[in-house]
Amino acid sequence: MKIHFYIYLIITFSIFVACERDDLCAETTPITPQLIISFKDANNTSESKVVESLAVYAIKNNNLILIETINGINTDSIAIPLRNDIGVSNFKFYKNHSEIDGVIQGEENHFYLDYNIVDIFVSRACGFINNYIDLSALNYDPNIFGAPNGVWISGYEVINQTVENENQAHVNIFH
Amino acid sequence: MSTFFTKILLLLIIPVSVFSQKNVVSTDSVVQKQKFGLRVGLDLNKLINSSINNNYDGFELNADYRISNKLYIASEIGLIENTEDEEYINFTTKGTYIKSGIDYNMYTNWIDMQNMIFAGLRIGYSDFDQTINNYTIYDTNNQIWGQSFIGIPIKNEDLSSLWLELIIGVKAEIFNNLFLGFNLEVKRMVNSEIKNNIQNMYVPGFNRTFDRSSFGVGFGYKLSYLLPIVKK
Repeated sequence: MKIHFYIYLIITFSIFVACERDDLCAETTPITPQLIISFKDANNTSESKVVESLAVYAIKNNNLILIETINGINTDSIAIPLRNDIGVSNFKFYKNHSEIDGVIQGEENHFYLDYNIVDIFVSRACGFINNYIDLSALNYDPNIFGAPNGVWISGYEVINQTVENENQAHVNIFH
Repeated sequence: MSTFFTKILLLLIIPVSVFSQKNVVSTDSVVQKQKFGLRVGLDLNKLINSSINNNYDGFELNADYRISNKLYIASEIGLIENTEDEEYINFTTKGTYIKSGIDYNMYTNWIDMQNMIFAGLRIGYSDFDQTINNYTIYDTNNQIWGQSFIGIPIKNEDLSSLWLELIIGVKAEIFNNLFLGFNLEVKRMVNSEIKNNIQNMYVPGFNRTFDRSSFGVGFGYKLSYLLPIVKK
């Protein structure tokens, strides 16, 4: 009788442990956050101001990669992914964006972000995510001498130098 | 390495020296003499696993010593190097462990036999290193910039874990004094020291750990030989 009880106990525990859904990265675990940008009125910096027909391109190795979710939308806030292999991300923000015969139309403004990457362990299944610290920004391309300083982005403000979640804006852009 | 062998030696010597003294006092009138001896063995499961799995090297010595009709003190000592390749992470755990406790034999033997159906308890302790060999950053928005793969290892050395273990198993004498056994283990972590906020995903002797529970499981397939020291 005793033996049966112990065997039952062990088997039950084994099944319980083996059925832990640990091999999948659960959606509730922390993720690598995107950068949240709020667009504000340059004349009244506490007021949100919608950008008409905004499109954002990431610049990687001189190629423009359109962020599909920000493709000619009217919005006053966006979330954009930061580059993980180096601590610099370059973007082109287009206002009044359109594309005619494969040529990008609209008002272009470079946006440069500089930060340090921190790898944070999450779990066996998810591995590591990134957080970003010491965030700074420029509204022009620092690699081009005499680059136009803010075509339609007249100013900006880093309000949160640490990017560890997507709960609030990290950068305000004035236009 | 030298400490590992010291532990083995201690393990083998202590039970003999401590418990052999008891036998002198035996004055009961039982006619049948029973074998009381040190049984030493190997975990075949670890040997087989080492030979077929390139990512695993393990070796375990075990011993038990009968202290009363039903009760044995038992111990295992081992050395494991294990690499696991998960979707986003590849890591290697390397270290030694020792487990000590008792086995209670629930099987009533015929005269002069030491077959066992047993339940046991252990305290387990492991010293180990865990190295993250490489990893891919988990980023659900990596379609834009691409995946970021990091090949610089993160080495966490001198980690330790302490756990309790419940064992159930059988041991049968297949030849004279030669035993073959099988056992299941359920473990519960008591304390696992971590470094750099990186979970200990595998602990030698405990096996893999789980994110949301402190339980672990294992099994052994053990060949052992009884060195009959005393009859009483």
